[in-house]
Amino acid sequence: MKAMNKLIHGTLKFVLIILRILFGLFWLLAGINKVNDKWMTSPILENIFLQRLTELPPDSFAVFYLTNFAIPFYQPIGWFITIGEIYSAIGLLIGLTTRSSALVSLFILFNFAIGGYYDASLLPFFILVLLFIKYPTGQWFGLDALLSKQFPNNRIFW
Amino acid sequence: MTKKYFVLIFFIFVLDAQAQEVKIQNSELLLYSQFGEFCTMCEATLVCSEGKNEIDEEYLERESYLLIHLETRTFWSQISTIWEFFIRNFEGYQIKGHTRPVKLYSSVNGEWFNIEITTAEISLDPNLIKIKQFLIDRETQDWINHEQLNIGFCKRLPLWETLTYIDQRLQKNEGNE
Repeated sequence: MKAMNKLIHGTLKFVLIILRILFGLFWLLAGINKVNDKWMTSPILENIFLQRLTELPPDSFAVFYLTNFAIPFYQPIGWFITIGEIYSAIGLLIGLTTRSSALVSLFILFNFAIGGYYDASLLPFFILVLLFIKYPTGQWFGLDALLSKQFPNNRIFW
Repeated sequence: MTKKYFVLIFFIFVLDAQAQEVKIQNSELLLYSQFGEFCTMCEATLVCSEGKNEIDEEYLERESYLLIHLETRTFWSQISTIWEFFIRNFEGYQIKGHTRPVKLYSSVNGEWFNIEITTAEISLDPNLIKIKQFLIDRETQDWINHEQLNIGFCKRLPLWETLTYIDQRLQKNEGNE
């Protein structure tokens, strides 16, 4: 029974690590696409938001959010999303500051959702990042395992 | 060595120019935004009729047409966009279309005689919208029947105004019954 539990536990850990790597890869591609599409240096994000405004119900919270926050600050938002996605991607791929990376992902996803870019595809992402925040997957597989030994007082590697 | 760099730079420019051309071509398609294919949570309303007409509320009250309301993608179709996004990063694996629910309002001389819920297939290459037995050419906006004959044209309508109009019309019809 104990061996069985250990096997199940090990399998779940393995699955979660594979999902973390896949999510990291997905996030990396998303970040690279944003660099290529010049999210940080052109008004493309403003145009994306303006386009979205025409597609949303006029009385929705997303319209309020886009009009009063996202559109006026589109350039720093472009920077934050692009760098945030790449940071999270690298963190999740190699297990470096894994929980912080997942927190940044959660923040970006949350802002996508309230900014009117919600759909069912966000649900698995939310579930995954919450699992990456809850469990120390970087300790199971990643640089966090090494760095937490090197810097035991630094909580970022835990 | 320098020659090789010149050739490489030339090819990069040619490929970039081709990519720009594809983007420009696509952006002229019906239901294609400058940022990509018709989004999962977006809706659209189109009206298809025999001629190229000026469409306004008066037209919808009096004429014969097919009013099409393309709805958001279904739950599982939205989930599948994770895979679509992932795979499009790899050359040759781009997703060329999707399906979504659609409502059809058929009108003869302004009388709505049939409201139907079905599925629309929206494709890129070939650039078509297929609903039941008919097609809409996304480049020319031609309305084509199952025998490949041109039966009219389709035009995109302003979404929120048209949805309000549909709601009011349905309420009015219910009130009359």
